[in-house]
Amino acid sequence: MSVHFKMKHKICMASDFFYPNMGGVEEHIFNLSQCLLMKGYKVIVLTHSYQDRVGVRYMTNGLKVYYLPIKPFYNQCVLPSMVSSLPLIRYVLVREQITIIHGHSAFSTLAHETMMIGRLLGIQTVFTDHSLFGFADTSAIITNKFLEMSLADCNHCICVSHIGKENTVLRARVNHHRVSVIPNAVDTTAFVPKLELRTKNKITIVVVSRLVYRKGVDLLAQIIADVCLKNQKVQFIIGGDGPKRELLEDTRNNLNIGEQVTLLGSLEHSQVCNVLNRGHIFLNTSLTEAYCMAIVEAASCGLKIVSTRVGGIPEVLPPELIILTEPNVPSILQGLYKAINQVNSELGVPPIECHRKVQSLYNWMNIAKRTEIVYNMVSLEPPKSLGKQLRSYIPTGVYPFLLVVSFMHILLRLLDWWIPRSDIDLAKDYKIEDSQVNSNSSVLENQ
Amino acid sequence: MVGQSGTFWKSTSDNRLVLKSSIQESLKHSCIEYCVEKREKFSYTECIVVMLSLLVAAYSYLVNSTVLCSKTVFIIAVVLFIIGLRFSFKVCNESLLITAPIGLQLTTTYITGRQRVFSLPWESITDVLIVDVIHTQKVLYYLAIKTPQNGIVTLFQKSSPRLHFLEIIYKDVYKLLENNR
Repeated sequence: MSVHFKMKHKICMASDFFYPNMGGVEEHIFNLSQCLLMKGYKVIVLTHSYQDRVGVRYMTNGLKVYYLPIKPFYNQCVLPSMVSSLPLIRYVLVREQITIIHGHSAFSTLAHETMMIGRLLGIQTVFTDHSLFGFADTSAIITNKFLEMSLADCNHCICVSHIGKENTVLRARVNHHRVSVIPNAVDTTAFVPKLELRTKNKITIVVVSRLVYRKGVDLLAQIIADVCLKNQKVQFIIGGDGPKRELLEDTRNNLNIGEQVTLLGSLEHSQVCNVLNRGHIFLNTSLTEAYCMAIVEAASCGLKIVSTRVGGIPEVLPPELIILTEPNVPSILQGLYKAINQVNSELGVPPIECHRKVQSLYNWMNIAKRTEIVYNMVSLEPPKSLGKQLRSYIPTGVYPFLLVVSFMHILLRLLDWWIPRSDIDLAKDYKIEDSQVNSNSSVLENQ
Repeated sequence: MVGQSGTFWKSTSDNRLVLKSSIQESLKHSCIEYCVEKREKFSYTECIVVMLSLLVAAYSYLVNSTVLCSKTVFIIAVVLFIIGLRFSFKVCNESLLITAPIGLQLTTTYITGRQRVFSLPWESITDVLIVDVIHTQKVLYYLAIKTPQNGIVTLFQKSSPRLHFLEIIYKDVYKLLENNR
């Protein structure tokens, strides 16, 4: 590893979403933290409690996770009271000597709360937005306003795609200079092509997604009907569950194509690889998407990808690995037949080649390196005074919020007197053994 | 075997607690005693509250207006009752005694002189740890004993000494466990 000046940041990942919950954000936080730990930073994760999982836990490589005893209130999020858990969050931030807070996901109120407290304590904050949002419905309007307030004083934002950046800049009115794009990555070693699992005499189309309106399940139902009736040698495997599952079941029963359509229900993440490897073609019919992890995973398994051209999807894969269509039935069908022809005549990029390409494009170490640049940049920014901080909230137009922030400031001052910093025991850093550090640095060199 | 009470060989202190040990260095391979004692038995705020309530009582007695008197007497009685209750549950010191093949004993002495004893047999002590515990709005370090039956048992729960005290105790207990395994 090249010897250069490196700041040892102490990073706090704050989000409502973390293991044992499963999903894209959780995986992102875990993998990013692991890579940062390997690079020698100190990383802790702050999340709320899950059932009996309360307290401090350690995960792989000494990743310290604080499951704070706060009850989730709606959709796995805590109630944004801003005040009730303030002493506890301050205590954790002080005892771990955090220098950077990295909040994840716009839905996560705990992330916003921690970032706000961090700003008042003079800690730099970074925020990663994982999803795209509309502007029209009530929930979007509320979330957007909340996000705008929260990001008004955030040092830097990270989005997962350029479309995501555009979206965030528009709805949260963040200056685009303060927004970077760092995509997600996929653990390519877990998604390798296994050609022996594929069916020989039939062409299998795999769909893995939550079965909800946003994912275009209505389109999918029509496509299944059309393809199965025209082409007896095609079968569908559908993984995932959701409110639209009934629609697919109805289509299957009405047309009597039970042998050609398999509904697997919800899948564990470890099962996804095996399901993907059973297919030749991966179909994605999303109507909106910030960044589609599923198609990267499928491409890593060497499948042909057919996907709608929405959101950040065109940025995700190079054009030779993906067939893009418009989000309507005729266009998707056209793309699908093109893919079927390619499979029949063995045209296009072969699976192993495909895997190698994805591997070269996506790895977590690269993501961590780019995030590190953001951290280094942010840590050089000068601290803001309270007045300046309050002034940055004024453009949002929510004046009562200034009162909330001022009240939080007063509370923090009070706590400084009641539980002074000298009364807080500093947490010991987890030491990775020398041999492990060496092997880690050799991994870094290879990449 | 245990040093005479009153003769303390070693004591360390910070602004809140005093850590005392009455065992000689040469005996530490088989026996450890540590005592965590509060420096001040009454905190300032409690003294101030008691003084204030007594003052108010005296004032209302002197002014001698019956309405004021009956109400304030009631309030003061409640305040004093609560403080009295607090005192009776207030811990004055906690002392830990571990003797090699016998076991562990934790004695909690309350300000009223009441004592509570917690003990564990030697077989059920598998390991000693320092753990992070989220306690109300704080994250504190506690010394804990790992047992096969009850899982983890935390020690010094009432006085919750700072980390540097725990480290001193931990080192000795760890050495003792290692020597007598």
